[in-house]
Amino acid sequence: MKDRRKNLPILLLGILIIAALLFGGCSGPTSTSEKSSQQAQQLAQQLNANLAAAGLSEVPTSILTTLYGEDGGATCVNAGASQDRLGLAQFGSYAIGRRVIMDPKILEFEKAVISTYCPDKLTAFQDATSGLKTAPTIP
Amino acid sequence: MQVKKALSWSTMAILTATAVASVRGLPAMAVYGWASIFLYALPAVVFMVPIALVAAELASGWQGGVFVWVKEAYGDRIGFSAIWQQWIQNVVWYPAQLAFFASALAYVFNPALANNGVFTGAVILIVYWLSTMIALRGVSAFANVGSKGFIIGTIIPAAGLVVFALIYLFSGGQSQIPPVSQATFLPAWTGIASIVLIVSNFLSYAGMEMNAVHVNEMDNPAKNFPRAIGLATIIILLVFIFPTLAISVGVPSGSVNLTQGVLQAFDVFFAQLGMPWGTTVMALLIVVGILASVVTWIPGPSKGLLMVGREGYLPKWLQKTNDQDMQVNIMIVQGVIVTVLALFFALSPSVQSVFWIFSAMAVQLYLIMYMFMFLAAMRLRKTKPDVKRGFRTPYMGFFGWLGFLASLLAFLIGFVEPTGTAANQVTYTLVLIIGIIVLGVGPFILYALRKPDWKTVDDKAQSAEISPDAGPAAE
Repeated sequence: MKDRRKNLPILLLGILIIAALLFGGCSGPTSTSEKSSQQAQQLAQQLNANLAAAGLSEVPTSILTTLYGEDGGATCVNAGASQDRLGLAQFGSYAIGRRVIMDPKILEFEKAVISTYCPDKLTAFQDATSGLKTAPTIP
Repeated sequence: MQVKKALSWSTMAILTATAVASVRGLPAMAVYGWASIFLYALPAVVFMVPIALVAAELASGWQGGVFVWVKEAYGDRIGFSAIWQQWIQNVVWYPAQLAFFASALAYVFNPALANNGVFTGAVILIVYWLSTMIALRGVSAFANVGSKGFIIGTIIPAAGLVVFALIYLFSGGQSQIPPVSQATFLPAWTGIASIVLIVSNFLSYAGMEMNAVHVNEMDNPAKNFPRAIGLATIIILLVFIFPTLAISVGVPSGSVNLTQGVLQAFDVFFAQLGMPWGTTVMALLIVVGILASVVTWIPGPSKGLLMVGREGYLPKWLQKTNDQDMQVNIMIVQGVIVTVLALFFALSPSVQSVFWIFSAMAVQLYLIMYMFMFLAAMRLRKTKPDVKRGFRTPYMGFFGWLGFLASLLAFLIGFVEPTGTAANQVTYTLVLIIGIIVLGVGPFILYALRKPDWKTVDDKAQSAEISPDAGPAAE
């Protein structure tokens, strides 16, 4: 009986994991849209053009289609929302509670993604990030 | 017959690593590619190594953690202040840490949920109180969940990142990190922003000392705590450095999503292998890892407060323990405070910038605690040289001052306004100073209000020195 009580937390944890696995299904969480479609390929190429225009390095199309699919994945879901701000607050520092000064490339890249996949959210993103203090620290 | 105690040295090592290392923060560093090695290594040398050495010596000489160490050197009032600083930092840390937990969980079901305040608030509260219930079941229960959760939720995803990055590369995947011959190992130098970046990462290693409060649950702590902290140091560096580089291999620097970068990397690797469902499995494992870190932190600083209480500085009702000798009322009060903070954090996005400043204040207080700890270690060498330590820090003067100066530098740099505050530099600094005073004044008020009948333990029992020869080593 005592052993069962001791193992209860582990049991609860196991049930939670199995339940989440069942509910979670088998899809990857980054982008739920079609990743190998022609539209995804075209959008990836358009994103690379936007990145080049912003002075950033181009990225293999296969990676962009995986990350952004046809809908921009998490970047478009969160553009300008609280999760976006939570993420930005975490830039460059492992420690929660200690923020640093953000590299402008991060914002430029996100702007290029939003312009490509969800331009309707560009204004919200710009409102959320305009005036942010930045300085180049990424080599 | 000698009864084997709850914590073996290897479990203590894993709990210490659990308190410090998680894959949650790796994307924030992965954007730096090869330079992330420098951003981990320098703080490890100037901050983690001194903490590890000093905590190992102090815990092998005195039971009770930071409160007892600082008290032995500078008296009750400063000792109380030190453990209070650790506790405050910890309480403010939960809502942000659990918001990341909610975010990871949301991405398993529906990424839009990550922006739903009700979902985030509910997850924070359910997980926090579930963790509290686990911690209340005693040292064995939380050590069990914490150590197993760390292996499942941190070691496996961290190892998975490295293994799948290698498989990705060997199966023709294109690396997003330049070859070593073209690597840049230092972050770009742009003055104060670069200093802020480097020094802020000292805090990556904060928490190394926290589990020393449970040292009396170990057999032969004088020998086994230093072993545990040595192993924890190795585990932490392995969890930080190689998985961070693995993320950089899969995800281009600019596109690392700072809350979901680990899953992005897995998505890239698993897409190449034709098994996208693997990311969902890893997301769930990471959720378990975050839960393990919360379960590990909950009984730590609150245990330190219980010791303060028994010395006569907290009302008797706060000193109540359950049949597992866990500080039930302190943990409930802590839970109520976390609940209020979490609800504000999750349900009112407009207060989030205030919350981050609040969080910055708490981190500053934590750095003051570290300064006390290093000074105490050096002072105790002079004032109590005869207390037997199971481990003695080599070149204590050097490492003590190195750790102190690193903490002081991190404290001073903490006043530089970061990205995302609504205030200017002067206002930010003033708000921080006022906040540090307000948050830090608590123990001095409680000290002034103390009553003689609050004391429930004699000094000798509370701060018993450890005999290095006591008991067998538990494996």
